[in-house]
Amino acid sequence: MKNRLKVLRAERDWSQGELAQRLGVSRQSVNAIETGKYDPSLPLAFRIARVFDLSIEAIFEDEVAAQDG
Amino acid sequence: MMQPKSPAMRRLMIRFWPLMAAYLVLLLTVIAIIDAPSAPLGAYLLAGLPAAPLVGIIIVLALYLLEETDEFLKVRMVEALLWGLGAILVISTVWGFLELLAGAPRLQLHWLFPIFCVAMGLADLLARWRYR
Repeated sequence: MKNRLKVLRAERDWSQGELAQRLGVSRQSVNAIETGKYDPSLPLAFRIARVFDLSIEAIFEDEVAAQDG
Repeated sequence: MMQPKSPAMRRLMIRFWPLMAAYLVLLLTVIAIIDAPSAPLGAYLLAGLPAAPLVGIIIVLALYLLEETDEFLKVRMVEALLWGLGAILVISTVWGFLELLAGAPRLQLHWLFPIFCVAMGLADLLARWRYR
């Protein structure tokens, strides 16, 4: 799933490790989510949203909805 | 096996390696002292002893899945376990037919666990490449 994690992280000057620590997950998890190779569960997606103080939709792109236009 | 990256993974490693060491020690000891062709019925217990740490390893893997709080690492372990299980199912099934119908040499069942471990290791390497 496409997402804005990398951009949001860069805006805050956080490393993958730093974000991982804030989320309580491994750095590999952040990397896998950031590169779109792993889609987080809903609870983790909410945790990510809380860390960035944004809504889930502001971070993750609903590709099906985007296609339907 | 994956490098320790989470508390649950560290616990898995702390539990896994002593069990693996116990397996090797028990296996070599039992092979040295047992006389397979003339072993009495009581020797079944002795012969089965090296399998105990391997059963322990399966339990330790199950504990890891229960204790791991990082969902991505848990998914990776489940994938590796499925590759391991798939490998032993495929190899034992195919080889079984080769034995039955083509007279292939007997595959000793104790090889299934090492095959399972090797397949898990390869799956881990594959996962590292896939999620790099």
